[in-house]
Amino acid sequence: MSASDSTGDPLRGDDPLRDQDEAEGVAPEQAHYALPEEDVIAGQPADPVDLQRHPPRSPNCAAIRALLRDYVDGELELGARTRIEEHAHTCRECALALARGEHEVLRLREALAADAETHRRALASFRRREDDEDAPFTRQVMQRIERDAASPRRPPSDFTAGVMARVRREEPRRSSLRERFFLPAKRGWVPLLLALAVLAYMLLRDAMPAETVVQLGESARATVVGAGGIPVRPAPAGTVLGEGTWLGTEAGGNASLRRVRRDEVLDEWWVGGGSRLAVESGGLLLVLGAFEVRAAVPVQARLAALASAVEEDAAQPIRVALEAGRYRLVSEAVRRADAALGPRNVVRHRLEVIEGGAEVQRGAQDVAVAAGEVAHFDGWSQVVVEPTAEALLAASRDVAVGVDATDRRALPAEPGERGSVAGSVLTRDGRPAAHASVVAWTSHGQLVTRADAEGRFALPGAESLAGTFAVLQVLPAEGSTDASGARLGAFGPRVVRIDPRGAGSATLPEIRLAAGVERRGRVLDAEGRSLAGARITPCLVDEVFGDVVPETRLARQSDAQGAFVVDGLAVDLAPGLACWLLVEHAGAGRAALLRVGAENEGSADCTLRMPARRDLLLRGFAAGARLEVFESVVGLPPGALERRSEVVAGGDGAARVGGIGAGPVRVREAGRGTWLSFTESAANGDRVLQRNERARFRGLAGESLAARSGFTAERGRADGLLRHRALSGVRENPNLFVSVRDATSGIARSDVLVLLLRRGAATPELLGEFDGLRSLAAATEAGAEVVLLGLASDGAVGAVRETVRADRPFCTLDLRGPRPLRVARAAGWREDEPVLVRALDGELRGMAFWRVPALAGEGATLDLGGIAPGRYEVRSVDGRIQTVTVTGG
Amino acid sequence: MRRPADEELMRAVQDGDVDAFEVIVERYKLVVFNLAFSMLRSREDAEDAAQDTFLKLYRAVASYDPSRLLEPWLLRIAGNTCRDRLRRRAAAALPMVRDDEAEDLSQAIEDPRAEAVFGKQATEQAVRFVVEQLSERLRTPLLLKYVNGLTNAQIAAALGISLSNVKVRLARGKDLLQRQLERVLES
Repeated sequence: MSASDSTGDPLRGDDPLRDQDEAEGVAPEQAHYALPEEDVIAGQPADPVDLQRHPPRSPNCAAIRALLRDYVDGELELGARTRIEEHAHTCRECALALARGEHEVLRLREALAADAETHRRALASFRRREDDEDAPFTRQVMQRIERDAASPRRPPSDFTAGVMARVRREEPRRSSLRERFFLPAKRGWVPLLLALAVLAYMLLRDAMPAETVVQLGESARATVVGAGGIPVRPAPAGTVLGEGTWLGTEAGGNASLRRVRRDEVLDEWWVGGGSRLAVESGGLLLVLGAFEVRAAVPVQARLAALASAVEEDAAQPIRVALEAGRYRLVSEAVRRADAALGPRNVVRHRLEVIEGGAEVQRGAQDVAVAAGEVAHFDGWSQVVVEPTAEALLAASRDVAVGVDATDRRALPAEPGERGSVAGSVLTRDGRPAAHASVVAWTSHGQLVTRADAEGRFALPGAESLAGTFAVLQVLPAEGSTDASGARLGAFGPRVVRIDPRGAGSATLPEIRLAAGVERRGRVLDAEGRSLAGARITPCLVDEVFGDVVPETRLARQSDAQGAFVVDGLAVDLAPGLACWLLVEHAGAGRAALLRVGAENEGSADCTLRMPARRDLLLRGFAAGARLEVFESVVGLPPGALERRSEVVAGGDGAARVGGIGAGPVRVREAGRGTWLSFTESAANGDRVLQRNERARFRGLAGESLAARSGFTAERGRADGLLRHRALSGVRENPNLFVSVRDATSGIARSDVLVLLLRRGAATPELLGEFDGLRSLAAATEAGAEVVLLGLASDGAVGAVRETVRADRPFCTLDLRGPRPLRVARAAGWREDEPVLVRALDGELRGMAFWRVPALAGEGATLDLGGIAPGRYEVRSVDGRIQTVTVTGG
Repeated sequence: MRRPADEELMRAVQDGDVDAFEVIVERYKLVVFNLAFSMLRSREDAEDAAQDTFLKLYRAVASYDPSRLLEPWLLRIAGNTCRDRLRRRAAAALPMVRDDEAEDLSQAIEDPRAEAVFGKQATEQAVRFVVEQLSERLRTPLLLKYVNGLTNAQIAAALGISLSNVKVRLARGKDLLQRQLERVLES
């Protein structure tokens, strides 16, 4: 590394010349072509100290001095050279300056002579080989080009030229009409005829439907496909897509589309990899994929309800009406069991309004989506609209500090009381949900209240809450049903906006409780026999942070035949939350066996089969060592609902724990805090954990959240799960210090960016760059759950979940890696601009981190360590998305 | 036989004549390799990068503007390609060839004759030391010019900066070299 000197730190590049360079920089689209404008008159600036010590005698001398360095470098033309040499004969000062300048370069050249020699030899060797062996370099280049040319891709034609050609083709038509009328028939007639003709033409032209041209811009791996998605022919840039044409992009590719009417650009679309769309009269039909559209005028698009176009008729058409603005749409196929028609691939859409406004029209329902909001919907279920994470964060930035979950600073207000936020809870058919429990997380902290007989409730603090967001969970009173007698389900936890109403009052949007869904079926033991007396408890699971909240009020037991029914299950959960059925039985153990979702909706018979229980054998301890074993529930995130048992190692250093299921297990020595690491195997039907001294510990979340959160059966709700959606501030004093080390060697690493992801935040914050010495400090709340991500410059990656504790502020991040993630270069990617990678499944699921891709030709490599096979979403700074699958190996 | 101009050849390639491209490769392979080796300091990497450069040129042939020179464009592509590779390497600096035969300075002080020679060696080492201390922005143009013999125009094209910027950086590099050298040699 460079010593600090007046040139600045090479790593940071805070060189005064850098600004100039950036000012002279080139637009990325022209990266390969445009060169900055030249200022050819100026030469290399003269040495300022030299000018000071030996100042030029005259303006002529000053001019000569300004050219000296160029002269020494041999960059001057004959005329200028002669001028300098003649002047040096007559002017002693300049002659000496010239000598000093020559000496400067000579000294440099001599010092670098060895390098120059090496370079010359390399060059000569290359040339010799090319001459002697019949130009192998050239041959290799040509071979690669031939391979390139063989693939079905023609050199892309110019987009503008294509559009202009179309425009020009229209022109002759017009002029020929005019020409006909210009041929004079009779003198007097001509002006009148002309006027009539022009009028007629103009009327005709406006009556003719102006053709909307859909044209492909730059595209990588886009093809015209059949309706089923099978590629028909490649679609290079400039292709005009006619009505009825289907377009597909390959995974990792993308395309840009433009709809033009006359000369007006209606909208511009960016289409991500793995997408499929069709051109219809009046708009586009978007089936699958990721899209972003910039609309100059109001635009309509149709969205597919089913992934297979052939079945389209069976579904309700979904339309979106977009005002001029910017929008992002992601449409994914989800497998779903339809009671009437059987399993099909349903498309779920996520429409985000960045600017403008949209309306989702489906059947009789029209739902408005405003800027800063995102709508989730498909062809059947309710359209859900909520603020985007960005909008939420923006709104929460000025909010006051969050509080401990049990601190209730303010009592709930009476409905109608001055300064209160009014709320109401109804059933879907409009009747009040009397006495429903309401839990609200606002910037004032958590508030718990109950609705009255008319379903009304209120929160205090309208002045400061107006315009902010709150997290609400509403639980129906025991025994509440809707008009048809079905048990009501819960609402949320969901984020809602508190709307100001003027004069110090505010309201919450009306909350409607739907009948909860039900699931019924049978519970079987590991051998397939009916299991009676098993307790089935629905649990709310946060699939990103791993929190689990059992909803004991909905728990049921299986009868003598093992049959069960659970109802009142929540329908519309916030994204990232899921409902799982947890089955517990004294003999058969515990397991989370069913994720309540579209795939099992309408299923008449869900069979829940308990996994086999085995013994757990722990090996590699000192005789007599006392161990604590924590077992989580299989199917739930690790650390959830753990059960603790104690065991003592025998003389052979081994310990046996009976009746352990297949769920995650962690072990530590009794009384110690450190978790031990193991290599797991199976032998004789036992689960064997062999203690592993070498491996490093990767932190898990602390103790079970359910235990810490104060969840109790009678309150029927928990705090821990919902906090992450609440708004929280940050204290000024840092209470978390992070260092980074290499997982294999244990040595501290440098050159690592560390990011902090707080609960509820959509993107991580940058803590800083770890230099191998000083820890990075973060200010969080005591008790907060955070995830720390480390990204090294060589691509190694590590993540650790940490609970911030006052008595133990230090945290170490272990890095592993790297393992490359290859993506196709997306149009518009710039050098040095990071992209956001989000793991969609696997260990790092839900976590997102920034990377700078190394771009080369059409491919880019993102080096990410610890990468597991799975799907990743890559998003550039301007929001374009690609989904990449990393396969094993 | 008349030597076809670059524009003619590139137009032919645009029309689909791949053989015309071969002439371009033959014509510029040395220049491109020279630049690549200057920046990458490794024979294999330089050849790979040079190949990539020509491939990129071929793929971008549609955007060739016959009213502008080919060489600056080609060198720009080469420069970008090399910098991409450099970024993927651990070290950001252009490694310099080490002088492993550096003598222990304290030994040679007695001999006055040796002092003349030794003085020169010490200066050379000092220069190399100081050059290495320069930021990459200043060091790269210096090395490209005085080790690899590229012209200012070629450096400008390779680094994607203007010609005057190249000159400014060269000058600044040399200025700093002077200052630092004085300091180093005094101590």
